[in-house]
Amino acid sequence: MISATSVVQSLLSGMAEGVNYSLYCLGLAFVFGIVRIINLAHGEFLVLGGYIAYWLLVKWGVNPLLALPLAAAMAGVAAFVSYRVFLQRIRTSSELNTLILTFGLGIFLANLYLQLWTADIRNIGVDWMEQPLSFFGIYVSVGEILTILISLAVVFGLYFFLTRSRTGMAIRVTAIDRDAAALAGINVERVDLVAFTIGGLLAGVGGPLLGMLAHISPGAGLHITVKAFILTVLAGVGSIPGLLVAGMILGVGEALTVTFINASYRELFGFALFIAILVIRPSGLFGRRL
Amino acid sequence: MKSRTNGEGLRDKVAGANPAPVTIAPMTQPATGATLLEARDLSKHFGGLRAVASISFRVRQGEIVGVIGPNGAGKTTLFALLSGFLPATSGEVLFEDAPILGLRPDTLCHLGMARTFQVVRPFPEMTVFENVKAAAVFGKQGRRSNQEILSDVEEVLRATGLAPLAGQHPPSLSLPQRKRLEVARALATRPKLLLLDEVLAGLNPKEIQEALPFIRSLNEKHRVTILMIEHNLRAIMGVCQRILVLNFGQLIFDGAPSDAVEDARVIEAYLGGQQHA
Repeated sequence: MISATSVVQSLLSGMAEGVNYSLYCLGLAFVFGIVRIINLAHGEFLVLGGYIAYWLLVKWGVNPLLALPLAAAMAGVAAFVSYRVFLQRIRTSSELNTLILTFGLGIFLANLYLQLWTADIRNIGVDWMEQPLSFFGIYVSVGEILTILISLAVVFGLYFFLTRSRTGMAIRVTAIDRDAAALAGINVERVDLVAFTIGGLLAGVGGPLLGMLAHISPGAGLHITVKAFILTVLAGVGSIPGLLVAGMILGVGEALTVTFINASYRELFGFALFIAILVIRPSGLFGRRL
Repeated sequence: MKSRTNGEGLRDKVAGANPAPVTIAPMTQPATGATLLEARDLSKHFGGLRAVASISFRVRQGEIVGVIGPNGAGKTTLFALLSGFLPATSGEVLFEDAPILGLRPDTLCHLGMARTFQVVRPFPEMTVFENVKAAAVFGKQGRRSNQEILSDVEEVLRATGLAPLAGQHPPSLSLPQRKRLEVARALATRPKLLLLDEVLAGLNPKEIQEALPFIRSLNEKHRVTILMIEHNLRAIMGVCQRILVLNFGQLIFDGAPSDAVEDARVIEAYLGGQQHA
């Protein structure tokens, strides 16, 4: 029987999951919105961050939370190198080229991970973070609370970076109108590189969190990329606060699907939502007109 | 084909288009400053089309030079070449005696060259103030304190008459106001040379009357050299000290506006040639 508690429980877990979804897709949404590259290797950058945390944990016993900066940095380096070596050369031609190139990059990285870390599914949870806390019959783990806080901090951090800093302003202005930004004295090619690297950093932060809350495997990246793409479209390209809302909608929707229908329909919810949004509101919930 | 009586010439077209005569202010003495911009044999081919065909000219410091020509004459292509938005097929462009072809638009901006777009392109999500600020932050002056930037922005807003509209968003502005914003943004980068691409297009005669003194003030008060494309002949006669006339990608006239209306080739380009009448 479905009780009120179980509804509240699934709503809350859905929201918690949703906030993390927002973080997982932040990098892809950011790069798509600013540089107009759909980075299909986004999930692989995220998984890289997860494996960095995994290595630190199994080799030196470092808590995955402390591994966050290094995980982010490594994924950022991977993004930087990918952009400088490959994407920069084909950037100006057509959008489809970057799509194909990043897809290939993703396949390469996934297979590299397979060589380095085997096909085993890894969880990097730490015991004390999996302790459940109970509030009025609703269960939350310490890890969930921490990851929500981290996700929120990163989303708002990015928001403030974009609205307050000089580089953030250059990025925003370039996203609105490249040519006009260049006329105002902004090196738009540098902005592309910086934005793509930031996209990598953001993905890298998500990796350890994914490893703690669920698990990582060499092939997990594509799944994340697809989810991130759904959320980006749902939020509307270029809307960062919209991502939080979109993440929550997806998270809660999935949780309710599991509670009321069947766990096997969980993934279906996201794709159904995706199609519905494309039909009803192609610019997304918070997107500007394109 | 157009049929014209002999008495109807370009001068009539210039003077007779509107009953309210534009008062042509006495020209400031012809500029004799150093060469600021020079094009040498500049060409741009699109396949078999020679959009710009070995054009050479100079713009001296302090001048207001107009570029006119019929539709498709190559005016906007010329601007795109000068401002780094299109690569040239051949030729050279010098800005303050240094070659600038192939430089990125942002580098040109830092050297002191600014342009506006024919179709205004403000940042719609940002207020008028923020639009101008973006240009002031990343313009020629480099990194500065917030205080300096703010006072700079305020000065530009005052000079362009946009100060009362600082908090508005561009979509709520009228067309003349948006055109001013476009100029304000270019001005906020502190250019030595300003390329204006049809800033008067779409304005009514009254608005043009108000815009002309504004363009002159940019030149006189702010010491900005101006190269402007203009469709409106009367306006360009009223404000430019010298004009370049393009036709089919070629420069067919370079001289005083008053001489242009007497020039046979210019008349032919504009009126389709009296001999065919």
